[in-house]
Amino acid sequence: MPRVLVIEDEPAIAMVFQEFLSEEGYEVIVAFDGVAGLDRLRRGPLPDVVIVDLFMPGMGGREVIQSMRAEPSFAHLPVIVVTGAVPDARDFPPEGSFQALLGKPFELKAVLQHVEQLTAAPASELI
Amino acid sequence: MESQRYGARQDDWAGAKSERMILPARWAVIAIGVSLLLFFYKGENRLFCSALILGAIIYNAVAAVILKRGGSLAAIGYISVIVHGTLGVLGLLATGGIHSPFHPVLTLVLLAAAIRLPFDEALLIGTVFLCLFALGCWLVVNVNEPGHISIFLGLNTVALVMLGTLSREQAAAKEAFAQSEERYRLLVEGVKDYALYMIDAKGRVVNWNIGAERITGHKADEVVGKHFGCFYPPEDVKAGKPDCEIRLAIEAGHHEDEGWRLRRDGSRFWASDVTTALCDENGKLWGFARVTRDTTERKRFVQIAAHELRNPIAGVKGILSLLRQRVTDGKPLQSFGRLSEVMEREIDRLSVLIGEILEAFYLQEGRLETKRMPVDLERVVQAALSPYLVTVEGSRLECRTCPDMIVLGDAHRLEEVIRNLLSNAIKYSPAGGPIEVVLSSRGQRADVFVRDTGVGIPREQIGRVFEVFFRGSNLAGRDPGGMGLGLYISKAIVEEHGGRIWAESEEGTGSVFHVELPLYQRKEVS
Repeated sequence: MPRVLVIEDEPAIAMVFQEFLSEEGYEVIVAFDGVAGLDRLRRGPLPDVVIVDLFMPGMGGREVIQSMRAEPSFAHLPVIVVTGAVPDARDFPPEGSFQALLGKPFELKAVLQHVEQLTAAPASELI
Repeated sequence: MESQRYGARQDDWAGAKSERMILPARWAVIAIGVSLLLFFYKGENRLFCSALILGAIIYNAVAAVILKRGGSLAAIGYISVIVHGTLGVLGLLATGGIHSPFHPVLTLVLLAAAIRLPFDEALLIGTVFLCLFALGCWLVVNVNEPGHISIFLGLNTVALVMLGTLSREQAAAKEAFAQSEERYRLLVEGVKDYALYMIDAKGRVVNWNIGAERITGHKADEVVGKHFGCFYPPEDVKAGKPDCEIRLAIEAGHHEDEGWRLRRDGSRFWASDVTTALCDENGKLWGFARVTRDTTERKRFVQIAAHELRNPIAGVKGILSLLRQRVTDGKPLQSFGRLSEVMEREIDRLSVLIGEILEAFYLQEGRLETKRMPVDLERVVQAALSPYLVTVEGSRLECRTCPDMIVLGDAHRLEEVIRNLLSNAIKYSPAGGPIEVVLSSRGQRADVFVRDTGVGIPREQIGRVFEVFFRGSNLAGRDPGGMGLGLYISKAIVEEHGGRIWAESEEGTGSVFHVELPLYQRKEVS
C-alpha cells in the first residue's frame, strides 16, 4: 500500500486528506507541523509521497523541503506543496525542489491525480 | 568741514570739466568695461545705464541718475538722488538740483520716504550710505516708483556698479516666499511615513526626506546624485523597470507602481510608488517627484488574512467533496457526524476570523472606536470570566479581585482583552492545569494578570507574541478561536488606554500575561 505523509497544521484539512486518501487505498500519516513531519521521516518508514503546507507556525513548508533535500535518505521523495495564499517568489521553495502545487481550496480529484502520478513514477525520474 | 568738502568736490567737478577731452586712458578702459558689464547685465535698465555711462565717459561726468517708466529726468552729473513727482521736487531741493553737490542727510530722509522704510532699516541703509560717501563714493539712485529703488554706486568718477534693487513689497514678498519655501521644505523633509524625493530628468536623486531615510535606511548624502535604479532589485534593473516607470510617467503625467525595493542593508520591502513628471513653464521636462510608501506590513496582512480565510474554506470544501463522492459512489456515509462537526467548527472559525480581521484592519487604520468612561475593572474581569465559569473550564479557574479599581476607558474592549488572555491560557494548557486571574493595584496603576501552567512560550518567540498573526509553534493542531490576532488586538486596546501589556513565560511550565492600566484619579468635590 503506497504511503503518504501529510504535513499540515490545519486539523480539518489534514482530516480531509486522511479520509479521502485512505478511501483511495493509501496509508496516510499526518504530522501537524514541520518539525513533527521531519521527525516522522527520520523515524521511518519512508512514505512514497509527501504533502506539505507552505505556511505553518514555526517551521513552514519551504524549510521542510530544504531540510528534506539536504538529507540523502529522503532527498529523493516527491513533494506536493499545498498553499492558501499566492506566495511571493522569495517565500516559495526553489523551482525543482517540489513536484506539484495545490492551491487551497483544492479539488479532491486534483489531489488524487498528483498522488497517483507521483507514487507511480520511479523515484529516479523525479529529481 | 562739510562745506569745505563739498567745495573741494565742486572744484574737482570744475577740474574734471576742464579736463573733459583728456580723459585718462585707464578710466576709459574701466568705464567701458563697466558699461559693457551693465549692457550684459540682465536688469530692467541695462540699456539706459549703459548709454548713460558711455555718456559719462564722453563728457567725463561724475555720476548718472537714471529714471524710467515716464521718468522725466535723466541727468549726467553731480547728482545723487532724483525722485518722481513731489518727491522728485523735494529731491531736487534736497540735493540742490542738478549739477549740485548732494546733501547726504536729506537724501537719506527722501530715500526712506520713497521706499517707505521703517526707521531702523532706513538708519542702517543711511549709515552704509554715509560710510560710502565718506570713502569718496557716489550714489546713483533710480526711483521707479515709491517703494522700489535701484541703487548704483559710483566709484571715483565714472565706474558705476549696480548695488541692487530695493523694494519694500518685493522684499516682503521674497521673505514670505522664502518662509513658505522653508515651511514646505520642513513639511516634506519631516514626513516620516512616506519617502518623498525628486529625481532629475536623467533619473538621479536630487533630494531626500526623512521618510525616505527611514524606509530605505539610506542617508541623503549616500543617495543624492545616484540613479534611483539603485533602490530596485537586480532582476528589476535588468528588466529595465526603473526606466520603464519614468517613460510611463512622462507619457501619462504620472505613474503608479508596486514592487520590491531594496533597503540599504540589502533587505527588501514591498513598495507602492507614485512617479509624477515635473515640467517647467515651457513644458520642458525637469525631472520627477517620487512618493514611496512601505506597504510590506499591509501586503503581509492581506496575504496572511487570505491564507487564514482559505484554510477553513478548504476544510469545508474538502469535507463536502468527500461526502458528495461517497454519495455518488453509493458508499456508506461513515464518520458523517464527525465530519459535519468539523465543518460547523470551521464555519464558526471563519466567522470569528472575519470579525477579527475587520477589527485588526480598523486598528491599523486608527479607526478602532473606544469609549472613555470610568470603568470598574473588577466587573470587567468578572464579565470576562463568566462564559468560562459555566463550562468545564470553570473548575480550573481561580480568580482574585479587589474593589474600586476604576480606570477610564471602554469596558467592552477591556473585557475583550481579558477574554483573549483567558482563551489563550486555556488553549495553551492542553493538559487542563489551573488558570489564575488576579486583579490588584500597584501604586497609581491597576494590574491584571492571567497565569497558566501550560506549554509556555519558547524564549525566542516571547518578543513576537503581540505581532499580527503570530501563533505559538508549540501547539499541535489548532483551536477554532486561534487566528494569531487576539494578542495583537489586545495590545492595541491596552495601549489605547494608556497602559501596557507584556508576557513572562518559561517553556514547559506556563505563561503569565500582565495588563497594567492607569487608575482613574477622581477629582475630589468639596
